[in-house]
Amino acid sequence: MKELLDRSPEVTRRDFARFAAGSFLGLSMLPEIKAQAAAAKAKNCIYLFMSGGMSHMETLDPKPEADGRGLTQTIKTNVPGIQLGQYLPSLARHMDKCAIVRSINSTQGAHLQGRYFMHTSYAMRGTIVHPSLGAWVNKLSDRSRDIPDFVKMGGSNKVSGVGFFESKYSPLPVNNPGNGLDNSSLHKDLTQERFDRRLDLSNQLDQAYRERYDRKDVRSYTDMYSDAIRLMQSKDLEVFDLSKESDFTRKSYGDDRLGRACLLARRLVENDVRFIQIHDGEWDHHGNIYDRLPDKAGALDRVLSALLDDLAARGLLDSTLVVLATEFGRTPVINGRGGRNHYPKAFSCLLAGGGIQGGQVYGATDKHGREIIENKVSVPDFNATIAHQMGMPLDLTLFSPSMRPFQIAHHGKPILDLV
Amino acid sequence: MISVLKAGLILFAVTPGLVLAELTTEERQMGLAIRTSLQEAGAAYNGGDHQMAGAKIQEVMFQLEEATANGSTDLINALIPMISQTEQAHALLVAKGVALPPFERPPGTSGSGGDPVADARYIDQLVAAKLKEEGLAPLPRSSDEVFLRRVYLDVAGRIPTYDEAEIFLEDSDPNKRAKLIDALMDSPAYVSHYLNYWTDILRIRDKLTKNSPGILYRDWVRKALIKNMPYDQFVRELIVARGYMWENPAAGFYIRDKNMPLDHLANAAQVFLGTQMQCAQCHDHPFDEWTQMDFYNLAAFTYGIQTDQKPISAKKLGGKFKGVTGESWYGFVKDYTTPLGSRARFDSKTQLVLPEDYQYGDGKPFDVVAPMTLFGEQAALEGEADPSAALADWMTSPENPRFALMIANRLWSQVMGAGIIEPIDDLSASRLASDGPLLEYLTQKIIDYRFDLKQYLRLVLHSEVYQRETYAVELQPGERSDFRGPLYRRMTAEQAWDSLMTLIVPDLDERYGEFELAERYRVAPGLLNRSDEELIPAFIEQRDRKQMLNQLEEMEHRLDRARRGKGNQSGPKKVEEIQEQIAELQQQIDSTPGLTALIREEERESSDPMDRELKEARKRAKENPIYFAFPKGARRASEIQMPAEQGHFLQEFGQSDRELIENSSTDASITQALALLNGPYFDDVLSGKSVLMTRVKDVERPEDKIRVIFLSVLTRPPSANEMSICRDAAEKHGEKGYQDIIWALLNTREFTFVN
Repeated sequence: MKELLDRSPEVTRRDFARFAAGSFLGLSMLPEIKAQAAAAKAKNCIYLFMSGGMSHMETLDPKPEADGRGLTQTIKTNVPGIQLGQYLPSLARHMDKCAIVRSINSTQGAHLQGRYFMHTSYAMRGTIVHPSLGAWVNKLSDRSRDIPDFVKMGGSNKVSGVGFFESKYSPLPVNNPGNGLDNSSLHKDLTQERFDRRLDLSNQLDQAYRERYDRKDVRSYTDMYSDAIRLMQSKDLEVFDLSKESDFTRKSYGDDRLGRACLLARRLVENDVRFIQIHDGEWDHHGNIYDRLPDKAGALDRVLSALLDDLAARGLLDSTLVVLATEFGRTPVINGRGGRNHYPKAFSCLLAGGGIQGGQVYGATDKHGREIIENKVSVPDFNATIAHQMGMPLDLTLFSPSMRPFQIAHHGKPILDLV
Repeated sequence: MISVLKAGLILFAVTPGLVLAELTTEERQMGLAIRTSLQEAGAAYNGGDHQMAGAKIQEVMFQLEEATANGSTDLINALIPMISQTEQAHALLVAKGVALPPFERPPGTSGSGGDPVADARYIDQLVAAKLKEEGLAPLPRSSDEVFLRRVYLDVAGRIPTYDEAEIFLEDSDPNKRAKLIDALMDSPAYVSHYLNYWTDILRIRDKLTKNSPGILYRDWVRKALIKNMPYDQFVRELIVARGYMWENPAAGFYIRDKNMPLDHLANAAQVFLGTQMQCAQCHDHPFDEWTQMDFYNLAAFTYGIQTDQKPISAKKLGGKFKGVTGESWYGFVKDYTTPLGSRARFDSKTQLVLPEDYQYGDGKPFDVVAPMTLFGEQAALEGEADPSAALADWMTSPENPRFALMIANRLWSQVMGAGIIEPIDDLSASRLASDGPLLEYLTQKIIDYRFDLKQYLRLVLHSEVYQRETYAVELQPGERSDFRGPLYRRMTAEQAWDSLMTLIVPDLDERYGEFELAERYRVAPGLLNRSDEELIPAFIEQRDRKQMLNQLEEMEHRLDRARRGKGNQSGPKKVEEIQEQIAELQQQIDSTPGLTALIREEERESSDPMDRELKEARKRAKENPIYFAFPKGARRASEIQMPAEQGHFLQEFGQSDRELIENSSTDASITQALALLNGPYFDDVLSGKSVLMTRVKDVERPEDKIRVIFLSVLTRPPSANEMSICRDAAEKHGEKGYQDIIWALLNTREFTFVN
């Protein structure tokens, strides 16, 4: 690339960006990327993020002999030799479907920075915003659909948004998973007839103008309005309507936000949305962890088990990667306020479905949950594993508008032992 | 460096032309002769012959004297650009040691700053010459309607109201465009519009960091705009800003990038010098000339400026309450003392060293880096401990080859829709090499005007180029416009929102944000140096006051619901009832000053009269009876939460999240389209109390109502065809029909895009 610039003094950075975009993503590469993605084990991904820092000591990596084990008891799972914290009894019965990574190491110990790193594989900077994993999947899939390939429920845009990619690859936000898509139904004061009348009037009054200014930006507005109207009438909207589910299913997920979000995620998977991200807050247990964590973990246990059961029953689990992640673990020692502090040095996440070999544990911490003693996994490695399963090109470089080069998982190496 | 804008070269790069049309043959000859002498002076100077240049300038001075003594006003006006140039050339040559008689400006021409209206004609000549060279024709002058809407959006940040449009369109003064430009430049709406612009560039949010309020910083920029602080001073005050936020809100400049001093410097270089160095933070810049060492040298100027927290220990203070009330006050006290803590201070012990992976031959990892500037003359470092003042001197000097050029190009782009060099904040050497006479002239003008940004904006706005029809070209990134007219573009999120508000609220421009939630920030300075005997009762009273403030907020929400809602909690009677309750509560709040009792004294001591003026303006707005007749959120974008909350119209429309420099978007999105089609945003426009609906009801005939709607929403009368379509709708559906027309127009591309 440097030679290219040297040869042609006329080439500006922007020209170069266009060249780069053309050569990597234009006519030559895109079909290949798409073919790879189509052949991938995981066609879809449901990414659950436990925001605040889920304690590994209480959940996926319990330490019965640790000095700081606290009140957590260890329970058996349906896979001999693998144990979980006592708050995850249902998940324990699904252990054969799951792989736990117990040796994740993050370099970021503050919430925002930690979340940002987990979602983007890059450290947070003041001069750029990196696209999150879902935005990469959306961009590289590049399919024209009524519902985009990246839907997210909760979480800030900075941490898990489109970053420097074009805004059309932004996630579709669903703020209240039980309530459908925001603004997708008629205004409360309008009848369909009056809405149509207004729309017709608007089109009539604007027609000459649109013809006169037949430009890309004007057209894209007109197209977007058409898309919005099509979506309002689309059968796809039904996907957001949880009342279409049986009572039994809804009960099994539970009528709380996380339950509704996961149920909607499964419906979106059936609709072939590729990346669905769910954000669950209040995991930052600095004090009184045993008053607060059991409820959180209990809800997660119920919802995650229901999701795995449901996906398996519908034959979707093999093609759907389920990820359980968090920004860091919590200190192996209980603090003076009966809680645990931030601990990015060693923590655990979980993968299931989508071609992942269940019933295994990768990596290990010492008996106190303090140090990684086997197979350290960096955050980019973990994300590379997800991207790899989804058939995303790990070595593809895309350039930001400021011409800095970036990769989907920042040169992370996928953990091939898991697949 | 390829382009060094040494004062002499830029001065002589172009010789102003003449507007010949209005001159007599004799006057033309006179003007052209002066121009030739001036060109010869330039050629001599550029050839290195200063004495010859001096002789020629002296000749020009005689010619000018003669021409202006006997010439017509038209001739004098035509000569002004050349007079300015001669004046500067004279000063330059005297500085170079050439002996010349003193230069006296001929009577009837303005002072050394120059006259934007006259200078603007020279812009037109430069653009015309360039177009002619390329065989292109300029676009025709825009209609009054198009100009009116555009200049309101560009200067006031919103569309004109029906009344404002009527006044302008019916004015028969041939000079009415110039009058309007000057009136708008001096309006409070200008401040609001440019406050959005600068807070976007500086990435100002209400929360700069977790514990640092951005509101004070925002108000500091607001005050700079009201005062029309010269731009070089503005930048200088940011760079040398030190102290606590409440002492010097400009310290927010550093606090915004807390713990990221390298990123902060990269951002500053991008914003003020149009120089992008982020890449060089980690390695030599691959596409520009900067090395990693260049970056570290520059960063060394500000690296010693630390941002930290906590001057008062809330724990210690909170503990004292236990003896008085028996409860723990830590949390409550902390809320008020934490915002006190953010500050920027210089620490001489913090030295910048090269990173551990430094890979080039000119230094080793962990070497201490000395401050050095990038281009032009080196900053003068006279053994000062804190080098940032030297950085400010170097950066804001008229001699700095990028500083003046950057702001000249930036504001040109802001008004014309594209920079002369694009992208405006990435002025690499190869781009600068080809910037051409127009940008050189503009750069010189902004220096002549001593960085008076209003004066400079007037210059651009008064040009004929700005007042032409829109040039609807679709430029590729990096491609340059030939400026046959200002560029076509979409409204910014703030322009769209403020335009909607224009259709709703009559006293819109007077509605300053009140920042009630900011009380805890405002009281902070008053807490310092107080005895426990003063603090403890004030805090105890503050607890009651805060409860009342919360109650007030809740009541205001109820008032909003009562105004627009249905059912038994709404309607005019209910509104009145709640308004009475609010007035009563407000009295109680006023007699429970709490911690505010401690600030008043401090405010009286404020050396800045602007603080009191702003406070007065906010108070006055509230005394207007219509103030409470509209929802609290019905204010301009500059007066509400920044950035607006998720799901707000502004966010849907692409308002910057203030994470990155100028991070707003004008792209369409499906959630935006859904929000415009089905969301609540137009409800208040369609409600009976809105400015627009009130005007519609004022007139009787359907044709008049439709005309009012078109002029209000699109700033133009309807065509015959549009009139007949709309009359149809009105006949069939009555008042609902008019609402439908308004809704339909608000959802057109014509409303959203700027001609």
